[in-house]
Amino acid sequence: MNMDLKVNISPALTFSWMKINDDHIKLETGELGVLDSKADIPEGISVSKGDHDWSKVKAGCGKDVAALISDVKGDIPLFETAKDKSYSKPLVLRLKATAAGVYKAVVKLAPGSELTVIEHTDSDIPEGFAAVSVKYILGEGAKLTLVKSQTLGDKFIYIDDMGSELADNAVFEAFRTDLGALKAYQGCNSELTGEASSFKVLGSYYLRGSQLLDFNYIASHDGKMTESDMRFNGVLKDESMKTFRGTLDFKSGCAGAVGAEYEDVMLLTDGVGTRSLPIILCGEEDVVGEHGASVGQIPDVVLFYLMSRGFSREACENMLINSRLNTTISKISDEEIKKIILDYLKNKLDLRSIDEE
Amino acid sequence: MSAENLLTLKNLTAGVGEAGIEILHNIDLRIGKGETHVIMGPNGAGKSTLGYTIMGNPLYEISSGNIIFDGEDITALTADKRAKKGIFLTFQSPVEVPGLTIRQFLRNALQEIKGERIKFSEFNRKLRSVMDTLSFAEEYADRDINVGFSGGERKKAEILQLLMLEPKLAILDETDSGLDVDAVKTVSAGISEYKKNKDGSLLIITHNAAILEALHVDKVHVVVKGKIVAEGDGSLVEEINRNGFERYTNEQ
Repeated sequence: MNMDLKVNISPALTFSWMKINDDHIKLETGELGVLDSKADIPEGISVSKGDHDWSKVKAGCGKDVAALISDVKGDIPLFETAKDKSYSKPLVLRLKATAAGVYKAVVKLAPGSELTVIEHTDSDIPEGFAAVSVKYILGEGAKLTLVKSQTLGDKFIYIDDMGSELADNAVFEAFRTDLGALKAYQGCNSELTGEASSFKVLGSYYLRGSQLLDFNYIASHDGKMTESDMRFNGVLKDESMKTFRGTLDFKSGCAGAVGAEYEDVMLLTDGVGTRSLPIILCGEEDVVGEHGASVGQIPDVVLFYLMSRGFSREACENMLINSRLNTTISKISDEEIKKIILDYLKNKLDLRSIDEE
Repeated sequence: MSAENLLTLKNLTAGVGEAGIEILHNIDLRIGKGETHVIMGPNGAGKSTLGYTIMGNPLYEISSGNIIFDGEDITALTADKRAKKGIFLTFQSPVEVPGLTIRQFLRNALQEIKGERIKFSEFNRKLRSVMDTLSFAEEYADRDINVGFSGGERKKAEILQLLMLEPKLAILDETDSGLDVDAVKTVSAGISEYKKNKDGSLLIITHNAAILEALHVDKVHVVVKGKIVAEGDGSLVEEINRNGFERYTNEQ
């Protein structure tokens, strides 16, 4: 299969010469199959198969990716919570990438229910293509915490095409840690249709070599008093490249909505590239939208402070990378997945854990 | 009989970076082991620059002179190596490090300085005890360094680091500035604890006599326009508090 996918298209376009409105994935791969998946399902969650609402919930990567994933035959599991039930154990999805495969699923939270989903994607092989698309549907007052991580092989192309719909007072909080793959594309669309619904995401990443990470996050505020907050802390090294597109889309009628998007990017070497396209679209007057970005090398004052406590420059970098990644790794409550991540940091990235015994 | 030498500044001249603006001029200073020295001077005299230069801030360049610490010339050493030899500086404006808790930071710093792994249990026991001394709720140990801390909490966190890292020489750069009366008392208690248990040396940069009340001051150095213009025993602090720096600044 040879394909040219237009991916992560910004909802509002800027000058085309900036080459930031979208990206393209040139894909040469064999027949797409289904990723190996293993789910630890807490008691009281029902699982069924079918399309359900997977195709109805819009994700963030765009039509080409949606069509590519949709065309792959295979069951789409639906994980569904019971009304008003709070789950103490998380739903854990372990995805193992093969040469070329996709995984799609729907997680539906019934009104008043609370659930944590831990999703991890990795591979035993260095090269391949993996596309993951999980759609989240939150009923009234439902509360979802999503903890995602990815440690794919060094030459993988990875697409994460996520979508969500939130009813009144629903709360969706996501934490993600991205470390692997040569080229990673994250598209995320969150439809805040219900009043006072809330979507928050905190992401961390560490790119090195010639890795590329391309984001497209959209918070679509339809409901009144809705809230969104998108924050990403990253580290770039060598010739790695990051493109961030973040859109706060305040639709007409979303009075009282509040949205924010922030980026903090630490640059360790001169050869890295970082591009940002923060967009605030206002179809409603009574809203508050904020964006901010901090991009640069480690500030001298921070470096001196840490060095004055006995850390070498290299140890300071190690610690600052760790501290950024730790803001999201610390949310992984599954010990097995946490160990995979910490081993990856230690063995693959030579980052000694700051919590090592 | 004077104490054995810990720090000696020999004819030290230092300035800021490439522009070479000289701030400190021919400073000579000697601190013995276990001694407490106080640096006083008007605003902009170069007191903090002196602290930074001893600690090894790369912003300041030494154009002539030497820093001898514990018998070794450390003039060319970077800040981390000076810290490992036993020098510690409290910052006037301690920085925030999101994602790194005080507990993680201190355990790692202690390991760097001691050059050995330190067990969590042993470290946590010591941390609890020091936090008690400073009336610091233990929950602060699991908060990110200085993130969301008030001015007083930041200063207390600096003293916490001092007591945990047990340096041979602690340079306190206006640790008491901006603190209310109670916070000054807590910080003073921490400094006394450092002196009591560690027999360490202190170089205190301050405008405030309150922080010195519980300490025996061996020597006071008055810095004006980057030079040491007067020296004396602890009574000089009182004299300056009464009469200010006018007589020293007029002489320059």
